[in-house]
Amino acid sequence: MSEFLTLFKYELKKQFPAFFKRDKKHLAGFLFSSIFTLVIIGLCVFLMSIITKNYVLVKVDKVLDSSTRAYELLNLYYVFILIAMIFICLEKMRKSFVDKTDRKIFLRLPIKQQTLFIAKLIVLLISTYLIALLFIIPTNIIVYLAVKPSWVFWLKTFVVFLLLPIVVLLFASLFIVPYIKLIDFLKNKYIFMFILLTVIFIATFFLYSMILGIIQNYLETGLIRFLFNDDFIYAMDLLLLITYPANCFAGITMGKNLLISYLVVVLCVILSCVVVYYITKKLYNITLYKNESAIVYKKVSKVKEHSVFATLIKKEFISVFREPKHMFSYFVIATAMPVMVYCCYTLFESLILNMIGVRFSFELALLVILVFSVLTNTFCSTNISREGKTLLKQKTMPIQVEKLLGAKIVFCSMVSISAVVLSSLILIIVTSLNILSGLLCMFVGIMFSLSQIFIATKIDLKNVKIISSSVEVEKQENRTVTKVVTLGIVLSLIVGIGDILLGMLSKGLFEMSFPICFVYLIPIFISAVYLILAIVYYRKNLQQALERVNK
Amino acid sequence: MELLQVKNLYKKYNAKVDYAIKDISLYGNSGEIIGLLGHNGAGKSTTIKSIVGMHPYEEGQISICNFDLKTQPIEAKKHFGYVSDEFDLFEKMTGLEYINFMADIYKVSEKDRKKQIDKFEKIFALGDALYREISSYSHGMKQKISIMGALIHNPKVFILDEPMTGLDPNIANQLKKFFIKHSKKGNLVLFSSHNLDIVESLCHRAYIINHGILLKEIDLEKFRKKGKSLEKYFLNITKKASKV
Repeated sequence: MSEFLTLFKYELKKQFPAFFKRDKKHLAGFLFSSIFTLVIIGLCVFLMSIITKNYVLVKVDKVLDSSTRAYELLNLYYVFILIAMIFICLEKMRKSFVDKTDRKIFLRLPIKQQTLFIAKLIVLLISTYLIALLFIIPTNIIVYLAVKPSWVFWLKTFVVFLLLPIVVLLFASLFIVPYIKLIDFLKNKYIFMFILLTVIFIATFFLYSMILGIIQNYLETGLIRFLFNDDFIYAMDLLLLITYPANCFAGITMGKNLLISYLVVVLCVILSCVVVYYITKKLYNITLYKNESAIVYKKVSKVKEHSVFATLIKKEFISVFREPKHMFSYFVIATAMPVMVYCCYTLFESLILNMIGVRFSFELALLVILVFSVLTNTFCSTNISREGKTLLKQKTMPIQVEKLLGAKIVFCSMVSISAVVLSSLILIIVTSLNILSGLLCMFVGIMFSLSQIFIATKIDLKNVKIISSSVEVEKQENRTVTKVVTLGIVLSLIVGIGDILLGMLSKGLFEMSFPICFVYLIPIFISAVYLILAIVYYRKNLQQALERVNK
Repeated sequence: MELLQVKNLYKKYNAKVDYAIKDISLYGNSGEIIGLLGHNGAGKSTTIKSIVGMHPYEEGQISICNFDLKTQPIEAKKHFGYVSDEFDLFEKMTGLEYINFMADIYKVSEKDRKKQIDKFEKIFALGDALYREISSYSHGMKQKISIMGALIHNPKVFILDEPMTGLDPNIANQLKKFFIKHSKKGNLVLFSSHNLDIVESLCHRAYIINHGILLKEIDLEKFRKKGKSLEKYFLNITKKASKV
């Protein structure tokens, strides 16, 4: 039993590292990400509650049947929940059962494979339930508030909460093999992966902002009452017939077609128990006993001479581009930044225009560009820590500190400036932003981005902690993300929102008037001062800061 | 000719704890192979990491090829090649990309680096693996590429931390042969090891470090002539020191 408990705790620590780190810096990061997640959930809940409230009041043939409408809508929500959870569980399953470090533990220590497997399976189940909690509870609260059914609704919600994760695991285990094959296929096709990730990310964001725009439009015009017409209801009814097992879960919750719903769900659960156990066990056996494939990535490069600075920049590029996690955090986000800026700009511009009837093109463009450049440059706060042990190696090389860190700054600046320039150009070309305003936004955005890069790199250098153990486990802890993002977001909001207020004053929206040139000059002045301070901070005791980096 | 000189070196990891190494002084001449001996945690790696500039040190002086590590770090670092006890390689680079990176850092011309790669290719036989990502390499292959990278600029001083750990006998043998060859060209090889047999058979001199203090400098050529056992001597001297 103690063997099981040890392995169970080990697995829990691996799956939920944030819960086991006790120092305050980790707590800050954990709180930040938790708040961010809660804000996203809150936003979704807000949108869903508007839709639900309006939808349950729709009359079909002049008859109000809130319970049936709630059943239809809940079916749709459960479809989304199932799809989202299957994707999350696929990745969790892959990480859990295709983990090569287990091979080392299993081969070196006298541990029963079955014990390790069961510990993993239970942790997977726990994490699936936790995810389900995040999805099901807010959804059902929304429906409850809209329809106000009896207390039995919560009892049924509990039943759904108990059964839905098991069914999710069934689907996840059915798709796990093709998913692993796909991941293996993509593993070292870096350019293809970059294009694919960028396209998916941009498409998702575009779709998201499009839906947001439509909802905003419907809310502003009051057309939302007419959106849910007869055709819409028929489409929802049709969806109810085919969306197994989501419709069964909706049926259980709302007390519709109870017999069939319970029958299908119970069958799914029984099937799940067998299939999940069989497939994960098989998968784990393969992980533990198969020979590791050695051929990973092959590139016929030439023996070619470069300057020290150029080779350091090339190294930076390789280390980011060939690591999918880093590639997504930096290149994909930076490439998608112009689209994100455009979507947010158009959305907010029309919102403000409808609210107060005045256009704030420059001020709004500035705010959006600054906020997104901060988010894009978040990655720079790992400039030093992601190097890990190789940073210590570079300390032994004849490289001046200015070159070593300068290469990182130049590399990040190249990515960041390109993103800001492209974002500004898109706003100039596609929106009502004039050329001069666009160029000024670009100028301020570049200065702001550079400041963020300098500050992020220096803070990371001062806080870096390099940990390594004998089993080549390297952990690069990033303690600076929270600091850098908070600083950047606060400053960009002050500059951006402050400039909108200045714009309001200059456009005579308040009694006090203000010369319009200040709307342009003040952000330029603030960002120039910020850049100068950032460079001074970066350069101060740079050599000593690098020398202090230790294990 | 003296290629390495360490004088009265003191190093602390934390202000609150005691020195990790105290008053270490050693030297290395052209054409020598020198071993650093000691138990786990004796201070061998700390000494080496301080010599190569990885760890800052509190007191003392280190000079490599007459360049002071503190006042002329770039010049000093140009003259040595270092292989760490941990694999601190750029895992996402291919072997050849890594060699090219190291050659660029040490400003090795295209012609010279081609020559060096051909030479090492014959010794270490990495073959097709040079075009693969380092992350796919085995322990031995990583050690080989690490050594190739450290030697690409043909350094006068070659410093290695526990180079034989985890190597198969074949690769270990190749490495030993290479040490002899490299030192015979007038270079200095300094390495730390737990393996007394390797140090005894390979080195001209050895330093024994215990609890961060340099216990003894041993002339191994004299030792071999007298037929003494390094193992007995080492165990004896460290036991006495521990008692004190």
